Amino acid sequence: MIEFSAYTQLLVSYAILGGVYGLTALGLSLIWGVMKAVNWAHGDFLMVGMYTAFWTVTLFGIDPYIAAIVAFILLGLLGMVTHVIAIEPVVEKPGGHEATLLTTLGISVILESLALILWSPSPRSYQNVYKNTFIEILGIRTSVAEAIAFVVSIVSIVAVDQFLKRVRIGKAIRAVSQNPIGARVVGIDVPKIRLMTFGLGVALAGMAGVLVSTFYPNIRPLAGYVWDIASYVVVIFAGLGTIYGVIFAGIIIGVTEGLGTIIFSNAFRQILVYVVFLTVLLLRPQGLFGKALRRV
Amino acid sequence: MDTKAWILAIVLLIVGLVIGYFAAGPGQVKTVTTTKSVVKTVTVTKTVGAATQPPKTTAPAKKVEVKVGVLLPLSGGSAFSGQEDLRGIQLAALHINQSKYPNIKFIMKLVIADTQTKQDVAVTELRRLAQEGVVAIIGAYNSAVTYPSAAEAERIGLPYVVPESVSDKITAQGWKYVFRTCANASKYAYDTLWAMADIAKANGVDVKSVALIYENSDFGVTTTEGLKKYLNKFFPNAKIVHEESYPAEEVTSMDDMVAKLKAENPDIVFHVAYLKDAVLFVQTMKKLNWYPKAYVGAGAGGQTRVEFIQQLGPDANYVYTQTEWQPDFLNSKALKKWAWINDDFKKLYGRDMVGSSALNYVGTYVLGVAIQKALDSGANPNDIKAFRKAVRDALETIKIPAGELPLMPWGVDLTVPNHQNPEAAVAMAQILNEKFRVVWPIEFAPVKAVFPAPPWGKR
Repeated sequence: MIEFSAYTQLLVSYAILGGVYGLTALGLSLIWGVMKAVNWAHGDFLMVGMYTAFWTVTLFGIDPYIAAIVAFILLGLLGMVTHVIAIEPVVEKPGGHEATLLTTLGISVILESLALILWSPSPRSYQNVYKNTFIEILGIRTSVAEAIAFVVSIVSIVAVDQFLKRVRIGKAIRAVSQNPIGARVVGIDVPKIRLMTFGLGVALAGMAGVLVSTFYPNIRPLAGYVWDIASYVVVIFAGLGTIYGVIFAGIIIGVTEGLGTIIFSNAFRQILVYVVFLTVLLLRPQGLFGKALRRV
Repeated sequence: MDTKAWILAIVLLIVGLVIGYFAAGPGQVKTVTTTKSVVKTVTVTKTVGAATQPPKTTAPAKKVEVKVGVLLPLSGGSAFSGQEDLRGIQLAALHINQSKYPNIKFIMKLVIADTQTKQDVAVTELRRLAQEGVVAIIGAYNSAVTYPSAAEAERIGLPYVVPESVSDKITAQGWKYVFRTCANASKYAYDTLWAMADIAKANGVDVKSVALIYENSDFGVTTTEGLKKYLNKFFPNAKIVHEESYPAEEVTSMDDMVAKLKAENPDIVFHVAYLKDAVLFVQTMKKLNWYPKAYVGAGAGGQTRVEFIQQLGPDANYVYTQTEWQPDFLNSKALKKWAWINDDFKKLYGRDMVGSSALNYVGTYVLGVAIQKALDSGANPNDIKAFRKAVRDALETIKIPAGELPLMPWGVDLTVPNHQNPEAAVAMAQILNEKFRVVWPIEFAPVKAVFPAPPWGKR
């Protein structure tokens, strides 16, 4: 039986982990939830973000959080290129949203294979002071790297939400997601907005990859997989199109994982998450924070 | 969906799959290794010093060519381990083909297949290799993959040499065609406990409690079963205060396990892990500011990899890890004569061999000796079915004493009924000053183990 202090420590640790899940899911939520395109390569963009951190830190010795900015820009550009190649040609066609599943699956295979060719399957990580520096508050301890990832997660989610609500392009993104034909009628350049949305979603995935790499010791071609699965669960759990929901859903998933391991064992970690996940979807098919579709 | 969309989707998938096909190097493509294919190495061996000079390369004169199937995870979750194994196998085949071993006189042609770390793919690939006429298989790293593919090899009568997979059940089925040159999980467990008992005794520490943490595939489960079986033989007063398994691929946090251990505070934590989870575990112990008297990587998994030290830096210090092989071994009088093998490896890959490459080198050598025996018995390699039977029979007679087996301090005896080499042993190393140092067997150890390990704050 663990002590109360250890129990509190674990709840906080898993809440932080859940916050990081929220961060990794944010880009996916934007692309899937808002743009209605399925990005199967989401985890691979995370992986490219991790490698961006590794190479910029080891080659140029720069701080990983500056690498996060580099990754945001690079991955944003990569996302736009991907959009031109794999999303835009199919997204408006009948069944186009399903087609994006296949085209991004192709992108996923290409990225993983290129990573394997370029960087080999050997796992890498880089030394940084943040994962070896710890904060202790009321006996609860966490690494600075995890704390920063959690804070960046919340800040990013608030920023994206405000961007969608207040900034002109953000409003255009929402308009395109709600009614693309109507948006076109009022003069919005729909393809351009989709390009920017996909670029932003991938840029966020790249940034998340960098932040994860500061404390998670596993930079390799398949490293995105585990975070990819968590991201999909978080986005569906939160409800498509909700931005704030992502952080709450992430924390709920994280804490549920923690409770599964504390109450039962690690073998129950995923079982409990999926039991809660399925229960919520049975009761609220639109997700925890999503809006129900109205019958017409 | 209209036609253009379908075409685009299919083209992208095909492009991805084509790149994927070439991505893992030779692993996913049928390849051939001959003496001519690696010119660089021929020159490499000429530069080896006189003291460690290998037998001189002799000109091949109409040698028989024999195909050997290599089954390894060259993509998927264990790809990096599979690539390391392949380096060992390819180097052994190269040395055989360069006549570095006068007792082996044929050309070993490797036909390489990728298991993708998947059981079904391994079985399918094994069947493909069999159709391509390989006389034997060597592989397949992951115990969970080796087991079903070995079962298939047994069914079709194809000799299968297991140089690294440790699960006990692979050699517990009474299979006639399956041979293991390395230690099994029980032996790893036995030697782990033996080593730690000796080290604890030498340092005057009474071990009263232990914890068992393990990844939940065949590797972790069988090694831990062995630890439980022999625990009280070596630690009669010790109790298991915590035992927990976890899925290595999916794990994103180990805070829960370390917090539970911190509450129980066992003297020794035995951890059977792959690389990522081993690194994450040590990081988490530091985060939660707790360290047992000894943290022991059992089963020579992730903790024995050089990347473990690279990724953790000084935090890797004081970790114990079982090790099948260390370059240190080549400094011993008995094994110095094999230093040229590691020199060749270093010239090719820029670093020393590790346990997996060394084990696979040895497995390939043993298979080479058996194939030569089969050839010497008059078996015709063109009659593939009969020749496979002859190789199997030859494997069953293999007995190589310690000192005559390349690289290893132990010998090979496959004459035993279950074909599990009883002579394979596993040493214990401790990471000191960010280097693996052999600390057990104590009588051969160049340095003394640090036990108990200092707490984080006093390092």
